[in-house]
Amino acid sequence: MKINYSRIKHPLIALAILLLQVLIASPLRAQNTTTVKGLVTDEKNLPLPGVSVSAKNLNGGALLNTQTDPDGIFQFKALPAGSYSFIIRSVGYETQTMSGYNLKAGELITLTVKLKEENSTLQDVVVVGFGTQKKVNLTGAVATVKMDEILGERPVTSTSQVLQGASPGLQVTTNSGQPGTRSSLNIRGFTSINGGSPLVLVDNVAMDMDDINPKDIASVTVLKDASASAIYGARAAFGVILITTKQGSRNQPVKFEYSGNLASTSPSTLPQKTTVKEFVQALSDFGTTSYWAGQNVSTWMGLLQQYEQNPAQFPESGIATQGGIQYPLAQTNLYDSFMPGGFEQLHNLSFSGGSEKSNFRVSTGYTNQDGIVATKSDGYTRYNLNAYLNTNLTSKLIASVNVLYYNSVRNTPRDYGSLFYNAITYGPYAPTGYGIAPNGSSLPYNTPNNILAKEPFNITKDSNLRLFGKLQYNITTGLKLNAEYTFNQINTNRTIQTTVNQYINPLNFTVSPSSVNSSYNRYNNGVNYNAVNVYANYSTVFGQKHNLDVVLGTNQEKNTESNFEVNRLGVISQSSPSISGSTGNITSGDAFASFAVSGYFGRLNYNYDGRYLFEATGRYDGSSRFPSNSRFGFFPSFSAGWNLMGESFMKTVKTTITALKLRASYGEIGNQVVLRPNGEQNYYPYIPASSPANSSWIDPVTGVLRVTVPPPALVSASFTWERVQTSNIGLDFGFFNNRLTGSVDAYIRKTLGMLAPSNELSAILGTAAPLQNVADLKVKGWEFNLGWNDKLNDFRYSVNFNISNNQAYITNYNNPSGLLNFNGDGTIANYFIGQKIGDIWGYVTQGYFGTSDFAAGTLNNNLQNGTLLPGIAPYRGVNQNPGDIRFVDLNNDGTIFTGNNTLANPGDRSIIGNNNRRFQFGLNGSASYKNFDFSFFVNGVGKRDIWISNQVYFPYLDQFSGIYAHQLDYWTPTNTNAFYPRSYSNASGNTGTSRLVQTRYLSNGAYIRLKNVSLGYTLPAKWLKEKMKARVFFSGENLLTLDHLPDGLDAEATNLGSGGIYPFIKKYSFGATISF
Amino acid sequence: MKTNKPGIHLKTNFMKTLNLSISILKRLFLGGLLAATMGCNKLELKPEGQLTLENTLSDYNGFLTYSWQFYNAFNGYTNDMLEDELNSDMFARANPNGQSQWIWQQVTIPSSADSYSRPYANIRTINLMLDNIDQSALTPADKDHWRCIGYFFRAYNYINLLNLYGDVPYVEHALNDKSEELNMPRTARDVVAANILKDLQYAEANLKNGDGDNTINVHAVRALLSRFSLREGTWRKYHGLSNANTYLQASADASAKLMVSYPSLNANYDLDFNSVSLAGAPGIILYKAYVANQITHSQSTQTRNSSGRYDLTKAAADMFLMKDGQTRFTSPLFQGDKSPFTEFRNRDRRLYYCVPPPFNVNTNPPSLTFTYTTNPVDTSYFGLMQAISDGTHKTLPTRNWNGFVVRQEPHYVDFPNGQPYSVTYTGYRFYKYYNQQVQDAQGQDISDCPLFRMGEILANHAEATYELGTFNQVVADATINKLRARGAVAALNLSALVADPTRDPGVDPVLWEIRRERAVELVGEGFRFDDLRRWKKMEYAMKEKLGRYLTKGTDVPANSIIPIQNGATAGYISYLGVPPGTFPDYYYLYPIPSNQLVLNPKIIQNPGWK
Repeated sequence: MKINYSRIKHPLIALAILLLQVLIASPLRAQNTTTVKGLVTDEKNLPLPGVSVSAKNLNGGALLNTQTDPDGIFQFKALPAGSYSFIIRSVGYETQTMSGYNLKAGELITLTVKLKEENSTLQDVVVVGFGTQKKVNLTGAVATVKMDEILGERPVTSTSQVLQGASPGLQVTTNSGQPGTRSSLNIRGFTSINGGSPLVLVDNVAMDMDDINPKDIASVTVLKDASASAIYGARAAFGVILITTKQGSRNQPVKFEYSGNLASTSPSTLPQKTTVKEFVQALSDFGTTSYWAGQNVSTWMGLLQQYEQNPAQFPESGIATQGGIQYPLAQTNLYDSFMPGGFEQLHNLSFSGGSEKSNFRVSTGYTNQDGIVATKSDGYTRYNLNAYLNTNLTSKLIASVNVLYYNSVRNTPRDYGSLFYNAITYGPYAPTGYGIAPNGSSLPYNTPNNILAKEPFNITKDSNLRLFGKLQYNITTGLKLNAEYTFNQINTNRTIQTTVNQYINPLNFTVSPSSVNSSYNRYNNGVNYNAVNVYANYSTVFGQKHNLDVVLGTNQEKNTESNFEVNRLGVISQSSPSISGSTGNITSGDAFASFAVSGYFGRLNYNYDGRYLFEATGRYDGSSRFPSNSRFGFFPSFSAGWNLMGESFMKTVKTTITALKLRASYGEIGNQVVLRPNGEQNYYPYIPASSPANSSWIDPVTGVLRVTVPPPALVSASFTWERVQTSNIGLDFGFFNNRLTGSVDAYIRKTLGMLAPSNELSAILGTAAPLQNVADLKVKGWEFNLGWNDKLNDFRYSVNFNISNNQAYITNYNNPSGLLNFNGDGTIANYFIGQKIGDIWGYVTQGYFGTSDFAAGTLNNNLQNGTLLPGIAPYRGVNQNPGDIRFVDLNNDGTIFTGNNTLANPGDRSIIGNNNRRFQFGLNGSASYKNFDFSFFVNGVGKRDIWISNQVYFPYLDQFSGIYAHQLDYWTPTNTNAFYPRSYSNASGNTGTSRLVQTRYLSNGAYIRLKNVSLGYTLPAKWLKEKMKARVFFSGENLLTLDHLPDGLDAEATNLGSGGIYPFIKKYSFGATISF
Repeated sequence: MKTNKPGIHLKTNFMKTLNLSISILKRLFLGGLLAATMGCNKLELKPEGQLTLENTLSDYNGFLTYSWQFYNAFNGYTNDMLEDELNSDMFARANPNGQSQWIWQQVTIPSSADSYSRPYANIRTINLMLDNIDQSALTPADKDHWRCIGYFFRAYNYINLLNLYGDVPYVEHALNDKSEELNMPRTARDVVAANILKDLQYAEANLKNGDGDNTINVHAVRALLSRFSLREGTWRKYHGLSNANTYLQASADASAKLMVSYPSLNANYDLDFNSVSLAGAPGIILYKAYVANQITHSQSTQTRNSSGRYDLTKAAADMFLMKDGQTRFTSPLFQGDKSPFTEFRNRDRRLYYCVPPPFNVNTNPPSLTFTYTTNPVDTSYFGLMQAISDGTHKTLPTRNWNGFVVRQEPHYVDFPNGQPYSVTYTGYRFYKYYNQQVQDAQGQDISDCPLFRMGEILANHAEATYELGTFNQVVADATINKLRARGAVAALNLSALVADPTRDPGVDPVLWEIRRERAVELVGEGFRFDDLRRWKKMEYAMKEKLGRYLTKGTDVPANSIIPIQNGATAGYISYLGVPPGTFPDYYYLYPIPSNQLVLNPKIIQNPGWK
């Protein structure tokens, strides 16, 4: 029966006939056997050997498998008669299914199969919300990443770090290289003044990305615009990251796979200290006569000169004592003992397979990372288990279960902050061993290596169990009903112990304990999460060219979290601490949080002939965070696309242009996140309540602070969702038989009705104005990616590049007086209309004050106390000296000042930069030749300004801070062209004024980093047993960084703080993969 | 080869499947609806572990719990009081660019100020309680109790506002973001002051008991009445406002009642400030307690490390009388100020509790122990301090927080002799809060801070009665002379007044002595700047702030960078130079933070501030 669907006028009639045809399937009686022979070739008609061919008996018989011989021939000798389909699979080719064969007894059938090479990414199927979609038919801004391609053999255990730079518009930032560190994610720039980050879904259910082993991930889809993510509603306002795990496949022989990595780690960058002599010389140049730790600077210098000539005349420790003061003279290297480097190992073992009716995959992972910091106090161990089983209960009912589990133990030094601060601050002479305390006993110096060796460390134990069950009922062809249930339990246990161990301060040689009291602290946090998704998918083709997909469903989630913490002083035994084994004061606290989301969604996809694409999504969503009268919101989105390749006028260029698609979308989603001023989530923003707190008043009977109840903040009765509107246009293209592929997207995302103080109100109110939906924001940006992949005989290679950019502006905010609340780094903590997010305000540097700027004869011998010539503006209240930084008097009022911190009067400050990471890019490439393969990955930021005012940047930031090798170019009367300004004795005087936020010392935060290079060798098959594959590889992580910052500062870090952060890690790794 | 198998009978199969799927769809939608209903209830979550005003302010204990936060308004031992003193004539901090912005007329109008917004935040908290009293289930007596407590603390916060800003918007109820009061003009000083007085007098009359030891009771109310009414009365008198006597009388009356309730003082002046516990101490009306691991401070620490650097000026040191009740300019006991050893002889004992007496010792490495020098003068004050103090307080030599012996006092920043801690610019290192209760730990000090003490009340009473014209020898003996006795200084005899050559000729000699006594007794407690402002005598602070007499080449090396007045090699230390001009009249009130004017145009800036 041949029907010309194009002649049928009404699409519904076409649909009906089509359905009839598909559904009419008559089982025939099997009698005897049949022989089926076939030839499999590629598109050039060359025979393909080793192709797997399966014959599937549609009457319920067994599945039979065979392979093609070297001539591309396969044969089934005795197939029972019946209805069959044949499935032909080969790696690198598209799987082909030939169905509708009705074999009669004694028949001989010959098949010819031409397999099409799998080379077009546009043919891929992409996981989208509650379904899949052919990539060619996508209309939203969606990017996909195949995990195996970007992970390769990188020695990385954090999923988020694997994704860094892999997808344009997805920003992954981390603040340290500490094992087990989590990253922050962002899609398309500044989200809302109330925060908001992408929703990460693992197999349709929310989860922290770093809780899953990257080796278990099959693909990652990034939904960037509203049209793509709208179906997820409430938490999807700022994009969705869909992670699909590996599941094994049907009719696949059991396959074992093992991969292991061994890596040695070291810090990627460390600050370079000066020599002791350079340090003391700098103190002297700055005018410091007496160092804060007691040493007389000129005595010190004299001793150093003697030490240089004859170290033997000094004690072995290199510490001379004069006038009761100790003068350290010997150079030490504190970092060597603090961060000697570490060792890591990763092991992953999986087995997967499938029969006719089921498939499964079980994997286990083991990670052990001994961080670069010395001792066991910096370590991370994780065990992962992932088990997936999918089976046909009946011909129409498919059940799947998935168990995801991990547990981890993380050891961290009790006070990382002070360890790094001390490492940064201690002079180049700080002794790292033991010294003699004033009372004559031998005690360790308070250097990081000794602290690490002697102090107990914090132990954090996490466990995460996620159970996922799904039933899929294939009601009829094209109509599927799905029910999913997820239970997730996350537990965190942490202990912190403090001691009263005594240490010698390596700078002034005084003795003090590590803490005032010994104490033991236990913390426990538990999360229970339940989610139910019920949805139906219907897809059909009618009239051959009308394609329709419909999804309808509901999503219900509830999350409850609670924690408690107990702290007790006076630990009896440091080696066996417990709460009950302590004797002092007990303090404790607890906290609770819960939220629930309830949503109803639907999506309709329609395309005509794959040429004209249309999609509409709607979600009606409710959140527990809003009062009942404004709890629900409806959020619609629309998108459309045009596949130009389907048009006849493109036929002439088909040899050059293989794919070309225009896309446009518009949509609106709600954002439910409300943050407290301290950045924590506010789960009940509409309920005026507060948590009890200590007052500062002691109960004289108990000697304990009185507990009180602070008054609740003002709450507005009617606030609701922030609305996030995204408009997106995009173009996907492929050239030269899809060897060159790419896409461009441009978007505007508006966050409207952000919760903000409804009005700035007079201080007599006595509290902050309540939050209302009154502020607006706009982000503009674009994304671009381009890939080239090709092969020349045995040489296959590919290069992919992506870059993105965005910038956010405040378009509405209630700040009529134009107040500016400055942060220390020159950014503004509050908002005003027209503000570009990330702007840095500062002074414009004119240069140094010179001696010629002062009235002749007024400067004294120290070049101080001079009288400035008329017309030269000093900083207000400061007696300027030569070598101080001179700022431009922008408002011409004769002095340099902050004004009154308003837009109208910011004094002499102006916008001098912006700290937004712009032009973020990623570049990865791979090549293989015969058994060798090679890959690299580079990422970076094209444009960014950062104000850094920590002691790794500025010399002698305060009287306690260190001086680094790159800081020796400082102003002195004989070095007036120096980079750094004049410093004063004990970093006092005008030292601070010269280091105000300004153009001269604004750092360029752009960087490019070689994240990974891998080289692999696949062992020749002849060395191995049948079916076995083995590969060995070498991989290097963070090998090279080009940036504009001094050693010890990492441009990639989110917050450089006081300079002492856990450095990013450089790794050299070696490993192997074996499968059979 | 493909075969199609048309068969009409199969249509029924299809229909069945369709029916089946429809019924399943129906069930799905029913299920969906069910889920939706569940969803609605599910979204109604209650915050666990959090409290609302309604469930807090329900019974007596709830009010009690709520009220403890009112006590946060008492700063206790913070640096605020010392920072304030730097704006007066008695204190100096000589860091470069560290001059007082008030004295050097560099005050800029801030866009916002904690000293303006914080009292209003406190007042809101208090008003919320006051607004909830009437509808609560408390007994009438308990209602009255909480009203009195509320009035006391509200008054306390308004007093701070009034003192700095003069006219301020006066609100009596908790406001919300729609309240009309947000656009009200400033309430006149007369009204604000009258309301404060009325509330305090109500509390005095109705407050029966406090809420246990060291809480607000009638004595605390009277102490605040004494302090506020004196300040308001004298402000009115010296700034040309009417009705001064109402306030002066209220102050005198409140003080007089306290003098009956608290007849004696702590025998040792130093114990008022450096006791681990002030519970039950004589003459202490209210104190802020500090307890290890609960709440600690660093007032003592900073006299023992390198961070404090609050110094008395020479003018302040000169105010301390000689033992004979004479000034150092007039007493035969004074042996000259060329040497600190002579300068400190025969002085008011309180000087020894405020500035470490001079000494020199040798330390044995690493400075935990010391040996005497060969010159007995170097340790000539050791015996005196042993007699008037003890090992946990102020015996000599002084020690740093680690217990290291300070080798010398005065111990100059710019000649520290290898010891960077416990240093001074002027030579008069302020160490009133120094004690040795905590060793080897910084910021862990546990000495209690007096909030209302009889030392102040006696000074208040003397001054208020003088201003009322009722000060006489009887009052002097009950006030000034009790304080002098504690300093081991001869009594003030009104019939034989000392002719102080430094006396401001515009001030009566009796008042001059009353004010001196106040300055000495309350030194470093945060009163002096406010006192000069209410007396309209900021001119005292507009002079060059000097330090000790110093001879280069003798006291310090000849090439020392310590600056001496007029660049001389011997003379008084002078780091800060001569302030410009006279103190502007409009500087007597603080400027209203500028954003308040924008947010409410009816708020008019204090005159003179631009």
